[in-house]
Amino acid sequence: MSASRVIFLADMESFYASVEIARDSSLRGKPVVVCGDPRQRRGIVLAASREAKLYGIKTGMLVGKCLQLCPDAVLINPHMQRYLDVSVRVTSLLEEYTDRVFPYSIDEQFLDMTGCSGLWGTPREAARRIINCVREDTGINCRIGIGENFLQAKMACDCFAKKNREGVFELDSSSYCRYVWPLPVKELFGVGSRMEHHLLRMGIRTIEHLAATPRERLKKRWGINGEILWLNARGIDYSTMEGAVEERRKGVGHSLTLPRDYCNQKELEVVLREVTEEVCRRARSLGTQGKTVSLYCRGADFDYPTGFSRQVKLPAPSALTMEVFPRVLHLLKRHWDGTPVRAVGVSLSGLVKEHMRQPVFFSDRERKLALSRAMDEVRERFGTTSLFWFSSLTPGGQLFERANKIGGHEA
Amino acid sequence: MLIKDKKENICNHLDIVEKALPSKTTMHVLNHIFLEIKPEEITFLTTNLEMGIKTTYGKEVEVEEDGKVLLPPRFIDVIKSLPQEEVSIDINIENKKIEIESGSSKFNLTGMGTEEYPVFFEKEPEEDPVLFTGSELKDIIRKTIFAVSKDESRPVFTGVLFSIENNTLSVISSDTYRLVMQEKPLSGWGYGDGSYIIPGKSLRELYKLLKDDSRVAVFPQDNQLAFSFDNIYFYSRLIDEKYPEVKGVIPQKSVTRCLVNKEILENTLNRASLLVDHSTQAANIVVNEENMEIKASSNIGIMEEQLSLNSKEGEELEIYVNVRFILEVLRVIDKENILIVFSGKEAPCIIKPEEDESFLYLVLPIKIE
Repeated sequence: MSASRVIFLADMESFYASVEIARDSSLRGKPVVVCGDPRQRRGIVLAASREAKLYGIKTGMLVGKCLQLCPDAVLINPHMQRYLDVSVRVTSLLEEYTDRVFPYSIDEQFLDMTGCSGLWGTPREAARRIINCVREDTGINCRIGIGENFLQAKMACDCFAKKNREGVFELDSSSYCRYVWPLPVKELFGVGSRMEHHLLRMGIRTIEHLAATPRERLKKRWGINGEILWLNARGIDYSTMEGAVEERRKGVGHSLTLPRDYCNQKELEVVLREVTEEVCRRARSLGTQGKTVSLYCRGADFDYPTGFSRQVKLPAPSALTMEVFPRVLHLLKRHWDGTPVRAVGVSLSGLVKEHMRQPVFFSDRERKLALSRAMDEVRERFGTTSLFWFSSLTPGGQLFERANKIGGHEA
Repeated sequence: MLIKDKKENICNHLDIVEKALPSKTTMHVLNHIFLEIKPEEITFLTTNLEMGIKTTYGKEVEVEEDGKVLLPPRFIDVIKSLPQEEVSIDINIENKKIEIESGSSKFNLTGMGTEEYPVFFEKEPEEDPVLFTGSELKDIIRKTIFAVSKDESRPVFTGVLFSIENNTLSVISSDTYRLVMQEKPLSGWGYGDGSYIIPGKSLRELYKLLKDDSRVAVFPQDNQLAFSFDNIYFYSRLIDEKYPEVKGVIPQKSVTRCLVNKEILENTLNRASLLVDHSTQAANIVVNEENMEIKASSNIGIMEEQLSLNSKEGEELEIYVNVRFILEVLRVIDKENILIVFSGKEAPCIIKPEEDESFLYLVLPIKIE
């Protein structure tokens, strides 16, 4: 890979709040806060406008705390479908500039601008054009980090472009150490609060300290993840856009945070059936089957994690709930120690294409497959709640709660 | 009591019973070899509860009264390692001390009492057993055992079905992807109609013990099947499940019938197997107007080859099939030519030896969508 790649990361400022303000100009200049429904214990801040941030309101904060800081804050329930539509619109705008756009999250998109200087001028000029274009079309302010790889673009955006007036910042392999190394180690991409804690205890306070730590030492302690941290500290990133897309296809998974602690196995089984059904449906819609199924269950306190993550190989590749769910149950019964569960996830990995399938004697597998496909079609046409397992009506069920939501929030 | 014998002779019998020693078990006692000594007879016996083997041979032994002892697992390795051909084994039944001498080498081992050992007894058949020669029975096992499933989640398919109906023996095995079936007329069987599913693992061990000229008596014992031959008594536990009805999966109509030289087909498929896709093992078989085409492709590359048919009836046809499933059956067919009957893209293909109605192999083609 030549060193002269040009990668942009475009980040939409206060995305959900900005979309709301763009829709309703009377909100302009006010401290706008998009937050979940407080009664469902999902009452946390999802996005805060620039004005609201001045009061110290941050994403992830409880709504109560937010109102203490700013009693005049305008609270708005989320409209996920709206945000998705705008996000897709932004992608199509960005595709005017390069054919290699890779949406990274709902409000962050990578662009490979390598070789585009003849069209759009220097990277900095191109970035300014993009910012203007997005603002004119959607009313949203975006910031752009520029680097020679994904990591540098991400660091340039998060650590600098978001904080300067222009909203553009450029890093390259030679300037990386000058700008990035003096920053506290928690600013580095991939360092969370727990990792920061560990690093501080090792005497590593800045990114420069981390870069100066022997690679072997980090590898010994955290394996491949330690090595990746070390590479990140030095601004090195070998990933490619194709690789990143491919990476996502290795597995199909679905996880969700529960509205309360689940302590009862029967209730967990109900919600896991729903999650497994969703995973299998996604796998089927991709025309794949998984060789391995994994289950994770996690407690409410992320700083002191409880729970487990385990996997088991299937006797034959499958994307049938009727075959996968018994294995999920088996994992739950074997590994769950009864501690309260607040988040669950199921995934299928080791995906193989389904278009070549070895049928079997003495089995109703073909019929099960046909049944599953028929169920998929019914749900496709009439909605996810048109056909469901009876257990979803019992207290553990989340299907109806989530049916009209996107990512757990109002559509 | 004192046994004086040739090392080779003892080793031969230990080799036989070693096959039923458990590979791992929570019952420590099963790792031992049961030894029973009578004035003119020595018996070794082992069992892993799935199967048991007992071998008896005549030998003059210095003994005051009949004695039984469990020999420790290491006994076999000790005997095999001895330096001289002449071996003497002195066993004190009272305190279970075992003294082994050969040349200037001397071992002292400690055995165990037999009280806790699940001894089984050789029983005489109550009715007329069926008699096979060793080579007949080996042939039956060899032609079915390869299709047995290894997936323990459906135990019934880890066994081979021996089904007797109207004096006809059907031997069937299937891993659910393919199925193999043999039929033999049976004479002298006194137990009437019945079905016996024998674990594939037991049959593999039995196969190794059979000699071509053995005379094997086969008969049921409780929920076991016993095989008595030479000086050996072998029993296997049976899988207590119902084997699915096989007749229903055999296609009745044929679309295309091809007669082809077995060796030529086998060689072609061996070449194709080099390039098939790793996960599906799919080879493409096309039957044209007068010949057959075999193709394989994967990210390694592609291959294709044409082979001529001895005869062909019916329509032209194209299917995909797991190349390993075909190669495995070709290896056990002894005839020069084989008949392949296709019954459509989704129905099982039939493979059988030319002019032999006693052997039938079914394999399901791979579905393409």
